Amino acid sequence: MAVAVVQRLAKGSAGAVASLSLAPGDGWATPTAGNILIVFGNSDSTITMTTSGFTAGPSVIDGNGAYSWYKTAAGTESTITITPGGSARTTISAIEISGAALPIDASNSSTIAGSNGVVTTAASVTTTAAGDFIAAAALLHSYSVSSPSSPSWTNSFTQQLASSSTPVAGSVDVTTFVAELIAGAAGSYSTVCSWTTNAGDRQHIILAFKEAAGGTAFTRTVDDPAGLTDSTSAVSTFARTVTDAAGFTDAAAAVSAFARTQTDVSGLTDSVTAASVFTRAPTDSIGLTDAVAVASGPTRTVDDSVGLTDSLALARSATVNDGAGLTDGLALARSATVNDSAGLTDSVSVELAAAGTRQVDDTIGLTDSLSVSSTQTLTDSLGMVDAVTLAMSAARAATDALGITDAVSVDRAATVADSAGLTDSVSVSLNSGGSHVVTITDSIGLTSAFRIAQTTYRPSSGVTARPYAGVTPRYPLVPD
Amino acid sequence: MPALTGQVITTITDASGEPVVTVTWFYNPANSNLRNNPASWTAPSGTVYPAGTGALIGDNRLGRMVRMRINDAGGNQIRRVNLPAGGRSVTANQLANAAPPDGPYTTVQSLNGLTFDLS
Repeated sequence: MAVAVVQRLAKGSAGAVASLSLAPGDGWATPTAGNILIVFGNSDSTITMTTSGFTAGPSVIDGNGAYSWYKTAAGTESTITITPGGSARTTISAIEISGAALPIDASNSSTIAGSNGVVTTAASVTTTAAGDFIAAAALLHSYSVSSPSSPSWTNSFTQQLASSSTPVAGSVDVTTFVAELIAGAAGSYSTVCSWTTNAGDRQHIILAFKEAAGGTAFTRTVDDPAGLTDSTSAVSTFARTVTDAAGFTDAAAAVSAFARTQTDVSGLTDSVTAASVFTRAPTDSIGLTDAVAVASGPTRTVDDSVGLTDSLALARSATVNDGAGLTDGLALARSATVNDSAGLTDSVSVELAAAGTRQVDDTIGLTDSLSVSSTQTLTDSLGMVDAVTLAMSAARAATDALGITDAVSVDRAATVADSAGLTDSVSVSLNSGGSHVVTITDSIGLTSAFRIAQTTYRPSSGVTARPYAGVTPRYPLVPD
Repeated sequence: MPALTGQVITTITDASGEPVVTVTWFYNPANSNLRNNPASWTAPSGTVYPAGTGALIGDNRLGRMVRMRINDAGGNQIRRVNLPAGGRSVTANQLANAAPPDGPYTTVQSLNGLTFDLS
């Protein structure tokens, strides 16, 4: 974006003034917000910039006060005012440029004090980029015959503004010349101003401003750290990460290939679907996962450390960790592990058939209903197991270490252990051949009622070999 | 009402407008001869230079040495003064005894054309 001059204006005071302004009445237009304003002030006194927001550039103070300022326009600078330290002859020069940006690229000054002459000395700036806008000012003071005039500049600088205090009254007058250059390549630039009529104090200030950055080329990044991402899609090939740190992700889909991670640290994930292949890990550390479906293939882990998992549907080889939340519904096939360390598991169904190792642990919470088939271990170490049904096959163990097991219904070859709680009802019902062993152990608590159907009952140590009052065995008990 | 009488102050600022290099020199307005500061002078950085500290005082907050050049009207360097990080003060006597080609400095005109090499 090339730098361009929007407006420039200069003004000299008529006699000594307490302040000096460029205003609409002088032809100064309110600048466009974002443009750069450059101001030079020159006075028979020190000067203060009265208009707010300006940054001070180089200054030289001896017989005269020579100053520079600049700022990014707010779009409200309809008047620019400088104030001498006392009523004094003064000039003000201002330039508005577009296409430039702060910070300033370079600046410098030079000074000649108390020595009549018609030229400044050079002060150089070293620019760091091509296309800088360079403004140079000769800020002159102390002459007697007439105001300096006919300025010219070396090194292709173009004279643009001239202003003098009037009428000429002697050594108290000031004159300012301003020249401009659009620089070429980065490098060192300098100029010297010369004029007619001697001046005793000859200050020189030079300022360089860089072009504003353009809007093309590489490296696009879309960050939405706290907002809403309505749709995010990473379509193909390797290594995608979809991250929405604090917002809402309405739909996140990682479609294919390797190594996907879907993470929603603090927000809500309404739907997460990891469709196929290897190593997926949907993680919802604090938020809510309304539905998680992990369809097939090995090794899935679903972690919902603090939130709620309303529905989980897992196929094989799955691990579900619900560290502190609630798992309202779980449907698991084989080789599943459900860990609900502190929450509630309202319903856990480990349904299917053949082979392999299911384990449901509810270490502190409540398991309201558990239904399992073969080779299962159900452990409710501190909570309550309201209903346990061990339906089929061999070698089952239902353990309720400290809680209460309200109803236990067991088929063959089962072990029901209620080490410290109460087992209100134990029903060992079916038996095809009468040869299986059912062991009911209630080491400290009470077994209010139990029914044993078509089986051999071998009371273990600490268990009453006969039913309590009110309980009638359907088949005779067989002494051990 | 000149802005200053018997003293020149030139200041370079950083991008935020803070003075980073301030150089001042003192002279007798009656004869233009350099002289040590007749009164205490406080730099923009807050450093106080008591009366008599020097005729040329440089306050340098850039954190590195700054070369000051004295150019002729054609922009050619005719003298140079190095301003170390932190700053430096030089008395009128030291300036008067500075050896050529960078000295001596005896009057305010000796320092005319002073600018900075900030590259």
